Amino acid sequence: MTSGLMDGLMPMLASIQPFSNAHLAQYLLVSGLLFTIGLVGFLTRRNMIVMFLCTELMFQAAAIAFIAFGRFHHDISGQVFVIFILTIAAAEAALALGLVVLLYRRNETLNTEAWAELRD
Amino acid sequence: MSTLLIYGLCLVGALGLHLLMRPGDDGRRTQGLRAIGAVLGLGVVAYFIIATIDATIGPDRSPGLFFSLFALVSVVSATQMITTSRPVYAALHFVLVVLASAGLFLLLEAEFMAFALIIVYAGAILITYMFVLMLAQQAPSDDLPDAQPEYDRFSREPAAGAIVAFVLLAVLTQTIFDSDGGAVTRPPATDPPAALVASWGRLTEMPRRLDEAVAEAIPGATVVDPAEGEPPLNLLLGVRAVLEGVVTDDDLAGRLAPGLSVEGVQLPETAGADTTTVVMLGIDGMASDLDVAAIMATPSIVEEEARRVLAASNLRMAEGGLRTYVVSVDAEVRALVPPTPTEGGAAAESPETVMVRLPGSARPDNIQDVGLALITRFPASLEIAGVILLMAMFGAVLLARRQIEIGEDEKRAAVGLRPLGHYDEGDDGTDDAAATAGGSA
Repeated sequence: MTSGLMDGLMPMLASIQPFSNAHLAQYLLVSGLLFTIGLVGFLTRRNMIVMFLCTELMFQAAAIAFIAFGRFHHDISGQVFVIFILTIAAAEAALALGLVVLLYRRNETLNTEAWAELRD
Repeated sequence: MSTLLIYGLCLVGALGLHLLMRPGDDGRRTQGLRAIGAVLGLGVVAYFIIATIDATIGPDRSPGLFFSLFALVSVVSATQMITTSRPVYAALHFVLVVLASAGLFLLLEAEFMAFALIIVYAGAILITYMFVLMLAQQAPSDDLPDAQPEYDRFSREPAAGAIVAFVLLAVLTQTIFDSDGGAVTRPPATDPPAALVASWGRLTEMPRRLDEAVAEAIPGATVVDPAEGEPPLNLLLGVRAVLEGVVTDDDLAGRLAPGLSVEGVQLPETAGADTTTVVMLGIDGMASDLDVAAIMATPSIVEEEARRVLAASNLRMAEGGLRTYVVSVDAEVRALVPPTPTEGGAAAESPETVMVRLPGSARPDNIQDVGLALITRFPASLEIAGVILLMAMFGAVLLARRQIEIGEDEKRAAVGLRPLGHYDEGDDGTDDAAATAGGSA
């Protein structure tokens, strides 16, 4: 299969056009990769603000998927829902950052493990 | 792609991500491992994208320079965002991800969303994050003021993170690649005729804009405002309304005369006093199996229907017969779909039919499409979004008020917890000195 890919690679590179012929599958791949990276970042980082940034990254991935589907089914609903997502993300970011500032004032640290006693 | 190959690739990708997240100082050995992780990750991404190309768009076409560029930038920036030790750099890398996403939106012909994303996300949300980061900065210790705090430099359980990455990536890519070797395929939906027809079809939902475009295209015609008390009957849609039974023939009678001003388009005087003029909208050469109602059909079909309706009505059919303005859309559609010679040619050659071509600028662009959809099809979600923003504003105001805790520290000492204030690494919350003091008191 690898040789088949390499055989197909040269004509593909020779025919690079500037604007996109990309199919839905490629957009969904990008969306899935971004979502995975965002999820892993959320789980592995301990800085509160970076964790919220990773949730914003997951929103981005979902937005790309919505708009790709909307474009490929010629339905404008994909873009309307992304407007909704944008609104939710902005509202959530405002509230989340307000909470982070309050929590920082209490413990003078952004480390989420400062609040590990909430587990008990 | 076989399932085994998919899982193997996801495993390699997860391993690459794990190598990128390895904790440690920036020694040379760790840099080498990070480089290996980066190469593995990029290789997996490239392999996946190339593997979808064969099945979806054909082996001799590439997804395009701009798509590859934006996709690569977004994935690389996202990975750097989660592995960097400085939170400000993470925010800046996220700005880069937002810009790359906006580029992808532009390629998907969603220009409004691209700019809204840049304005709202990169402009508003990320700047707010930067301000909070500036408020919450701290140096870890006195002897190394330039190093990042320990919780920023090391990842928490990178192995578990890599496993989660593998599982999620395997599940997501399984939906794209089915088990008998090909990617999920459907006919290339980027074919221009379908997209353009769908877009032109929305023009019929914007009657005012349609009137203006047609008035510009027919020499001598002007746009008029509806008269007082007149029911809204756009001339162009008049035939369609009759066909759908919304308007009866009696309403239509008396309106289809040249020079008479009706809502919409006033036709020029030179149309001839002895002809009955019908203005219809059609796309030359396209089959009539579109779901955009009778307007978007081949002109001859619409003309047939119009003749039938008018014959059954009270209108006096003139000697010269029916003069039809067939308004068709820009040549880009015609060039892509070869016009069927019989229908298109017959309509064009009929002496009573005048071909009027709408320019490409009359096609509703993305902003108008989105606005139309929001107002006509999704008014509830618009309202809900506004309410959510209002609630967020109230919440933010409430959170920003100062709160006074009375006796919190004493209550915490009685239970054995340290007082709130400073947090050291390795602190588990208990305060031994206060516990013994509280126990003895």
